[in-house]
Amino acid sequence: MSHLHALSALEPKQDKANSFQELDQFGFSSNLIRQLRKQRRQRAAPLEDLCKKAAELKVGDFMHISAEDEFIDHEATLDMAIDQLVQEKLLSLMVTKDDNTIGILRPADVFAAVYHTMAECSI
Amino acid sequence: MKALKELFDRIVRCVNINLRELDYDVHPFVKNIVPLDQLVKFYGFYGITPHHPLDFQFLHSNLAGSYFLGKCRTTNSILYKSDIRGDELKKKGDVFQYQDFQILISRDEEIRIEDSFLIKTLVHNCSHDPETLEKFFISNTLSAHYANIHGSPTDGSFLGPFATVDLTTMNDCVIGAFSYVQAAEINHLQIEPGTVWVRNLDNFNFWYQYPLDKLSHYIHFTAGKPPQGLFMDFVEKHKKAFERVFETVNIDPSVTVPRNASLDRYAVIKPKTLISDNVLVAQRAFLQNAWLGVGANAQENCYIINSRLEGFNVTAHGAKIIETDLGQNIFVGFNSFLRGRPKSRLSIGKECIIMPHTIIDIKKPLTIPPAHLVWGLVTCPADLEINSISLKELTKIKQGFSRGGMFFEGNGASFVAAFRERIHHILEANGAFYNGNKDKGHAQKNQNISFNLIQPYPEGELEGLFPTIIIRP
Repeated sequence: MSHLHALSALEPKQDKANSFQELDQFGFSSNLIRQLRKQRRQRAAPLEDLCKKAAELKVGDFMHISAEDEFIDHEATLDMAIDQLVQEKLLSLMVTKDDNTIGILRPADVFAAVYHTMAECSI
Repeated sequence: MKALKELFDRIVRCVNINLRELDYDVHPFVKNIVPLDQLVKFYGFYGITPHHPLDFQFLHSNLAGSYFLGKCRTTNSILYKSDIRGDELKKKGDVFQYQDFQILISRDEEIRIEDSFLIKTLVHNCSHDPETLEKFFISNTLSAHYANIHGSPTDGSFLGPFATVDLTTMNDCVIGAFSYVQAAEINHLQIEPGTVWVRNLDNFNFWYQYPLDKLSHYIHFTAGKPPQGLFMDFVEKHKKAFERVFETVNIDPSVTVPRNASLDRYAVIKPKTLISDNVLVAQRAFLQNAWLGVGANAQENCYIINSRLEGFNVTAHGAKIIETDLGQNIFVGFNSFLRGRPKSRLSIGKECIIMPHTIIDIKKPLTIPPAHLVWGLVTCPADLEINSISLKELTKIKQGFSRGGMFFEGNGASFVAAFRERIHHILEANGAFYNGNKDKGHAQKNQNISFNLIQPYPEGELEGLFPTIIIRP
C-alpha cells in the first residue's frame, strides 16, 4: 500500500468516478473532465471530515490488487527494476520467487543502490 | 445444409479476424443463436415500386424472412428476418453537401452486404460517409436481434441486441447491447452495453451510461444464451400477431387508411387504431388502440399500444410507446421504451425530444413538460429531474455540464438545432408535410408496393441457401 493508495481510498466514492476515466476515450476535453472533478470534490465532504472518514475505513479499502507489471523476479537486474519503475510510474514492485512474494522494492531502495554505486565511481 | 453451415463459420471467422485487436470472439455469442433449420423455414421478399430503382443481386446468401427495397446486393451473407430498406438511398445526379464540398453522385447508391450475419436488424437511410457515397457497405459484420444500422457503413464489427449505430462509419468495433452511437466515424472501439453517445466533432458531445444492474432487467446478453430481459419478453409476447400477416399473401387493411397515408401490409393493426393523413406505418410495426395524428409515423419494429400521438410525431425504428399520450412534434428516438400503465399514464408535452435508447417505465402517472430533452432511465419524478433538461436551458449551455450519468460538452444550442433539423428532415422524408401537390415522402411513395417472394433450396447440400438471383427491370 502506497501513499497514493491511501489518498485514493479517502477520495469521494461516486458512480461517476469511473465514468470520468472513460470520458477521455469518448472525445471529451481534459478541461471539462478537470472541471467535473473539481465540482465533485466541492460537493464531497471537506478535508476536516477526513479524520472521521479515515477511522471508518477498513484495511481493504486502502488495498489494491497488483497488476502484472508490478511484480519482479528476485533474480532480475537492478536495471530491469529501474526500467519497470520509471516506465510504469510505479511506487513499488512486489519481488517474487517461485510465484511467491518475498519482498517489496521501493524507488527509495533503488535510489539508495544507485547513489552508493555513483559514490564509489572513480570518474 | 452443409453450405449454410460453412457460410456461418466463414462469417464468424471474418468478423473475428477484424476484432482480433479487441481480443473479442463473437462465436460464443452467436453459436446456435439462430438454429440453422430456422433459416430454411422463411421466404425472403422484395418490394417493387415506380419510385425506387429495381436492382437486386443475391449471391450465395440466406435471406430468411428478410425484406428488401431499393438497390441492394448481398454476397456470402445470412440475413435473418432483417429489413434492408433502401428507400432513402442517394440517386444518380444528387448533390451531397459535406462541409464546403459539393459532391455529385455518379450512380445510384446501393446497399452492399458481404460476409455478414444480420439478425432481425434494420438497415436504412444512406451512407453519410463522403468517402463512400455510392456504396453503403456492411461487411464482415454480425448484428444481434433488433439492432439498427442506420446510415452507417460498417466493417468488421459486432452489434449486440438493440444496439444502434447511426450516421457513423464504423470499423472493427463492438457495440454493446442497447448502446446508441452517432459519432461520424469510429474505429477499434469497444462500447459497453447501455452507452448513449452522440458526438458532433466541432459542436457537441453527449454521453450517457446506463447503470448496468438496472439495464439488465430490460436487456442483457451473455455468451451461450439468447438475449434476455423485458425487451425480449415484450417482442416475443407480440410475435404471434405477426405470423398471420406473413403467412397470408393478400391482406386487406383492417382500418381506414387515408389516401395520403401509407400502411405497410406487413404491419400488425389491432382494433381501435386511427390513421390520419400523411401517416407512415412501416413493416413490422405493431399498432393497437393507437391514435396517430396527421404526419405521425411508426417505423419498423415500433409498437404503439393504447396511446395517442397528436401529430407530426417521429417514432424512430424500434421505439415502443405504451399507455402514453404525446403532444405534437415529439421525437421518440431509436429503440426507446416508453411505458405508462392503464391507470398511470405517461404524458409527454409537445416538442419534447426523447433521446434514442431512453427507457421511461413508470408505475405512477408522470407528466413531462413541453420542450424538454429526456434521456436514460426514468421510473419516477426524481429520475426525470436528473435525466432531463428544458431545451431552453440547454440552449444556454456554452461549455458543458453533467447530470446523473450524463455528460455534455459543447454548444447546447447547436445540439438542439441539430436535433430539430433532423426531426424536420425525417418528417419531410416521411411525407408528413404533403399538401396534395408537393412534399411527397414515404407515406405517399410507399403506398403501392408489389411484394415478391423468393425461397431457398429446400434440401440437399445447398439447403437453406437462396439461388443466385439478379432482378432488374
